[in-house]
Amino acid sequence: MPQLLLRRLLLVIPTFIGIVALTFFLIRLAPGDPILLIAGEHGVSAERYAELQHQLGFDRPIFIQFADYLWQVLNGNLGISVVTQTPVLEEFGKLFPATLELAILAIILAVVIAIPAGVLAAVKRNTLIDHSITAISLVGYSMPIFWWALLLILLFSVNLGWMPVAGRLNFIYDIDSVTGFMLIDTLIAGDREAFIDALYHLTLPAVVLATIPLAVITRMTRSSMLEVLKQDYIRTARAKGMSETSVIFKHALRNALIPVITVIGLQTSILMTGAILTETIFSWPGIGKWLLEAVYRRDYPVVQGGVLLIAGLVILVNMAVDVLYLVINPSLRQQK
Amino acid sequence: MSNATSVEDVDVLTPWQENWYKLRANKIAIAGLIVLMMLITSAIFAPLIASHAPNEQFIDSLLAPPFWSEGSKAGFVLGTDDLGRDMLSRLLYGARYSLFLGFAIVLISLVTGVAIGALAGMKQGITETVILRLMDIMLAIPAILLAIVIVAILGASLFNAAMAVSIVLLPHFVRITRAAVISEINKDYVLASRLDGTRGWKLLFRTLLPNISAPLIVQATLSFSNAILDIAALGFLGLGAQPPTPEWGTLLSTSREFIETAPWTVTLPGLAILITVLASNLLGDGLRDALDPRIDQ
Repeated sequence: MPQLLLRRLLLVIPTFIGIVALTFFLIRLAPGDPILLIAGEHGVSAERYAELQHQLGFDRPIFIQFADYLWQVLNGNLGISVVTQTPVLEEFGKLFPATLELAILAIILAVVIAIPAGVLAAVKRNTLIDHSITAISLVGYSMPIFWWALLLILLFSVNLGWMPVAGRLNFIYDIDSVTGFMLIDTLIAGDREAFIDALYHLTLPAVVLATIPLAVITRMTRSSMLEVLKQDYIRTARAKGMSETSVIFKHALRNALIPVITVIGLQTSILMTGAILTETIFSWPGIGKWLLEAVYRRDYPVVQGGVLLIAGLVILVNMAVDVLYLVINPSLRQQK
Repeated sequence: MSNATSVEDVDVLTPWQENWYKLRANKIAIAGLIVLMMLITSAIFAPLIASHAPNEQFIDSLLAPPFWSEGSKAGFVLGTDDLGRDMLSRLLYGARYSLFLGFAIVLISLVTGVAIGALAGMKQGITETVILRLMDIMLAIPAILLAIVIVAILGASLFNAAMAVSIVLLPHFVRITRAAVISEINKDYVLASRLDGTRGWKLLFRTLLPNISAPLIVQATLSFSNAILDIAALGFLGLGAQPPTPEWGTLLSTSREFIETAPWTVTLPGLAILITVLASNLLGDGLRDALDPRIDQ
């Protein structure tokens, strides 16, 4: 197994360099001269242009520029936003907790509902319960989540007035940002009302973001459970007189969860896609909304750095999932 | 196995007939197929079915509600939008964009993906490694994000959005084709065909492709629903079709501000997207069960 782990870790390096290359060259395909963009609308003289070009290194061969960029990235320098003049990494760091808080809540919501639902559907196979769960998860799987978000706003915010429409916290509360997680910060501040308000603001976006993962994990749990329940060792467990509850929870579920954990890990990419749409609709100040606004404003350093950070995150999580899979899967553990 | 003999001998089913019988037994998949067929028909005959042109304005009927609500107007079955345009007509014409683009995107992705995947599978070595790494990189960037970046660079238009979505869907086809080609390439029938002098693209299209089509068909159906969702999402974000194009995602984004006063302008386009995506997912699931390929997930 150590070799397997090592090979998996080493595979990340070319992929990561590839992503740096992809974002580097993609951005250079964009129309518009970056120097003129930096110089502003008044334009520059030919001399100043050449000076800027030299200063920014644009007069060097493209591969030297790329090697330099790669070196900068490895040193944590992702460039400076054209619009705000702040380092991209700093902006990302400031906004990331908001996205992370939303994503964590969404994935918890999805897992807590999906695994029992999937198990229930598999155990009650071909009953009304199974058919309803399968049908609901299929609708969830096919849902355009930007529309789903609008429907929830229409019902819970506009018609019933239960939920806020946008933001993380009502402006009447003044909470110091310690962790960047609103739920934890309000607890640290000891403000009970603000905590409840933050929870209210989180509910609808989290439900929207959880929808697709919920459907995917439910389907996966169901089919994985059905697969496991067919196995000989389940028949053996039943034959030796074990109670059905023990068979399902002690024998079947443990083994059925192995592929499900992989699928949960693979939701990172879906969560990031969802975050762009969800944050835009709910005016959630996270990296999804930040990145989309950078695209609208043609703030290329932010787009480049943001894509790089998100892709890097997806690669890291996928790698962690692979490692976890090797660790928890007993059949792979034995191959030394 | 060949088609020529099966016409004479009705007892022997061709693989396609066999798969069709299996699919036909799956009522839910057939329901999906029928809904999809109805949508395609109404998209094709939109000019005949729709009572108005998609951009025709009726100034005296702004935001008229649908027929089941109070205050609805005759002639506007599903109501009108903020500019007095007939919702039903716009939705029908919108179906043309979503469905036609869905097909076009899948076709482009499928053809390019099969070509690249087959190249990787048949050449192997360094070509294969480079292609696979590149696909890994594309898969590491979330689909909508990659599409947004591509659109940001190429500019916001329906055509660029469609190109972006085709690129995003490509890696799946490449990986499936490569895996299928590798599993088939050393089989006897391929060897026989090679000894017969078949080489290169001819070997791929005549010999290999008919035998690896099952996983590709399933992937194409599932990609179709993804393509429709992604195009609608890009339209919703203002990065795809531009108003007044009645593309469903664009309809949603322009009517968003009327969610309180005229909720039907928001609910109906989304419902159209959901029904289309659901129908093609039902068909895709059914096809997967019927064809039972080893899908590359």
